[in-house]
Amino acid sequence: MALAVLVIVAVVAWVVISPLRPARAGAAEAADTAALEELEAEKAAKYREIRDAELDYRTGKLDEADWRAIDRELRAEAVLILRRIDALGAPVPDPAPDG
Amino acid sequence: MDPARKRRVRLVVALTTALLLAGALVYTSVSASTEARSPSQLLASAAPGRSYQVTGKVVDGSIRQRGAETLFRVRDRNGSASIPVAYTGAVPDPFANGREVIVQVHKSGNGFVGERDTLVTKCPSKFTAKN
Amino acid sequence: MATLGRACLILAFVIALYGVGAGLVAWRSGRRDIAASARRSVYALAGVLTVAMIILESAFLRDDFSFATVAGHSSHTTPFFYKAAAVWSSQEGSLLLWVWLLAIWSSLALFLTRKRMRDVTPVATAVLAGFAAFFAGLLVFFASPFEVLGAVPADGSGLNPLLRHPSMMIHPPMLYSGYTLFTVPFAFAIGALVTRRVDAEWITATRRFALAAWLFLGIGIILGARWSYAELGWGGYWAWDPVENASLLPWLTGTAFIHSIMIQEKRGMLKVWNVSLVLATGILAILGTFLVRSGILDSIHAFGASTLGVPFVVLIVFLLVLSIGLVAWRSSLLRSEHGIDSFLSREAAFLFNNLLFVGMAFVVFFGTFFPLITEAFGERRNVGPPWFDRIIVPLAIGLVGLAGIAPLISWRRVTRGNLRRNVAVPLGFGVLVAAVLTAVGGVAHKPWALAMFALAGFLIAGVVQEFARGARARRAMSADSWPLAMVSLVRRNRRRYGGYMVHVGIATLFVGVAASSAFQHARDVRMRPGDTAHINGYDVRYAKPLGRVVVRDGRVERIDLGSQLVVSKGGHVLRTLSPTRGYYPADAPFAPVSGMFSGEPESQVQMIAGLRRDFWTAVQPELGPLRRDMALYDKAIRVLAQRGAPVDKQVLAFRIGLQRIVDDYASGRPYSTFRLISSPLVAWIWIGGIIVFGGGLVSLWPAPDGARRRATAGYAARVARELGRA
Repeated sequence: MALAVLVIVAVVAWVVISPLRPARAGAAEAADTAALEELEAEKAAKYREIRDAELDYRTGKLDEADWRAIDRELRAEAVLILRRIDALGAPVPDPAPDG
Repeated sequence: MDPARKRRVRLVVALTTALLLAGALVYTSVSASTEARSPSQLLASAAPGRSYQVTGKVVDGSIRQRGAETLFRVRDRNGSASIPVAYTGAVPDPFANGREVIVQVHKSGNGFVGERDTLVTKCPSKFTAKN
Repeated sequence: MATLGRACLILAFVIALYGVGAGLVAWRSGRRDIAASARRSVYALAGVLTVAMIILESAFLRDDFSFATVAGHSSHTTPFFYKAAAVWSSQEGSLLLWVWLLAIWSSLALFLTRKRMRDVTPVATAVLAGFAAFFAGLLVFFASPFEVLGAVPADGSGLNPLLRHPSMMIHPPMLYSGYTLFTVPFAFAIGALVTRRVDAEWITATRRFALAAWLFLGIGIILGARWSYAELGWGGYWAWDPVENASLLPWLTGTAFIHSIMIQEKRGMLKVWNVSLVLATGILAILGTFLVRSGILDSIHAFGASTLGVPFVVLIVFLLVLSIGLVAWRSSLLRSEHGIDSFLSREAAFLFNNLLFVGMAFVVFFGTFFPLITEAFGERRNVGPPWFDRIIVPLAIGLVGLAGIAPLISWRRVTRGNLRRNVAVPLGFGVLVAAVLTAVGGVAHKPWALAMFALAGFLIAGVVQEFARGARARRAMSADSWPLAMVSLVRRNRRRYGGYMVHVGIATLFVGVAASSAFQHARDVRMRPGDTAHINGYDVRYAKPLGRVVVRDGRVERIDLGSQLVVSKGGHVLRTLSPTRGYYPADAPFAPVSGMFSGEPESQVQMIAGLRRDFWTAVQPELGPLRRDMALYDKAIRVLAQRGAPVDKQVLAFRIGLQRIVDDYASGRPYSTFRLISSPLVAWIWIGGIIVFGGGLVSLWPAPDGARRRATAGYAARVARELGRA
């Protein structure tokens, strides 16, 4: 019984402490990656909106004029996002997953 | 109307509607509610014909069958004052001596008549504070 | 074994505390390695709690009655399937299930977001670990599942027979999965507010988790309703019981959230509203968990222990203060970016939907806590199901109408002429349904039900139209066959079409509820063999009484007494039903035969279930006439015991006595009270639930990365061209 407890504690300790051993400098890149991920998420959401608008048009809820207007608006917004992504520089490659 | 004013108007309308609805809610709930009483409270003061929701425990040995009616007594959770109840209809499965029940009743003569489908028996708790 | 289990719980408590600390340190310092360690502590938590669950589960399956919990909730004769479920029929077992599920789902959520939102996740980790620490603390200090009995009893008390139903096996795990999954968006909302990251990434992640939680919780609620209908002797599926309401509250606010979050995604609006909704949903989930075991409200569910009431109240108050404080502190961050373009837009429909859902949640909350509110003001009063029905029904009808219009409107704004064209056919169908039902079905005297049917027809027709048009649009672009076009349409627009399916499921469910409540015929009737009862055109003849002794593993498990009913309609026999009541023994060493009938009885409901109608029966035998014989046999056994007869002779007398009583019952003309219910369209409630589940899965299913990239590549190219031009 005591042995089983010891084994479990040892496993837990290993799992929890192992990321801490070789100290990695994580703070500096965090800010940049966060901003980039955020913009990527906004871009994905914007693309989704563009596709949704087209589906709305093709299923007859919008007439062509209205759709073109909305599509233009959305694509302009997407362009802005892409510009901001470019402004951040080359995308930072993802470090090896740490679990 | 400029947009700021429009927004304020909308807000006022929304809040007023919400308040009116809330008021209606409170009003209907109070008028549709029944008083919750314990058996000793009912013994002390129960107006005939008015519905009360009584909560208590079934007195051991008090359950009798009289045709389609089930007769039993309900006592205070922590006490012995009890009232007789006559309930017609199917009785829930957990109903038994000593169980906690909730039933809607109205006074009739010296006893109380249970209203149909209002008898709720609590699932027996296997767990009390001490256990 | 029990000590190992207890050690695991203590270890879990310590790990959880570490998780809280490490998460907070990682947040302040920005160090990824500490964040990873905090995340791994949640994984470790899941592992350790799994060990504890396995220990408890195996104790139940092995009939190890040295465990107090096992002795109190299981027995030798409990069937294997239900022994496994008995783990969570007790206070402490259910708490362990809760925290285990919390650890599992938290681990999954943190694993899936390990490379994203790196500033938010440490805080979220701390919050989730905090919840785990609370529950682990309860398990360690207040309600341990690993209590050991000094004297090991020969047999356990057995599982409450009311819980012996497959739905009862799955209902708590489903419900608790729903509750614990809602803590994940809660934790991420706290994290987002603290780190000022209430933005697109947060929205995407949170929506997924909230949807999964919503799905599990919904299924859990429906399973509970199904259990109530099929297992309990009252024939209903929803009673507005406080505990039922407590599970409905987070589901209502959760539904509001998964709609309004899309408004935030598209218009940057309602940020305060959304964050408040998701925080409220998490708190309501904790409230629901608390209510079931608190005893503060009169309810049919009673776990009982009031020692746990105070810690829960403290937790809930703490969460409330934390949430309100954070929202107020970060209010500048949560300002709206845009307004709504037009009231004739899907955004506006979602906004109204939110008002309705939150309104419903408020009504249910108010009605549930009414006794406590009125008690604070004077005398305690209760509101019953009629009040809830009266207010919720119109709101539900409004929701179905709204859900019917929403697919026919586009985002941002709709072209009015098109709207008229799109609404025409579904509206026509709805009107047709109303007309037909009024003329043929005799439904007109129940206007609410009629409105529900008509609007459900409108909704379903609208969804069918959407699928058809969408498939047609796909065919125009890819020349696929109809079925293929349908499939690819759904695959490429999972959110939308999954959502449509869910709406169809909900409409179906509401139709079932409306029909079975408004047009139900129910009677309680007392009969003896040979009598016939009449209800709604059915003739029910009490053919003969039934009785049997059920033996399992050489022991008497229960006595079944009941009746054989012959159900006919128009002179033509439909089916023979045999509803019975099972009597499980109570501990009564001096009156074993009477003891057989003083334990937990359980109705074995029998019904003719069909797509059009259910005919439901339950029986309540009258035991009065049997009491005299029971007393006689008990006396005989007592005499044998006094004379020092060997135990197996007493057992033999016991068995003979029981068998005689049962045989006498089956050959006599005993009275019983029967509840007979004829209800239309009940099956559609369960079918609707299945459709909701399917639609939810579709909506939740992540698009495979490749497909997503292919789909967006086209747009990327076009947008890139713009970029080049500009």
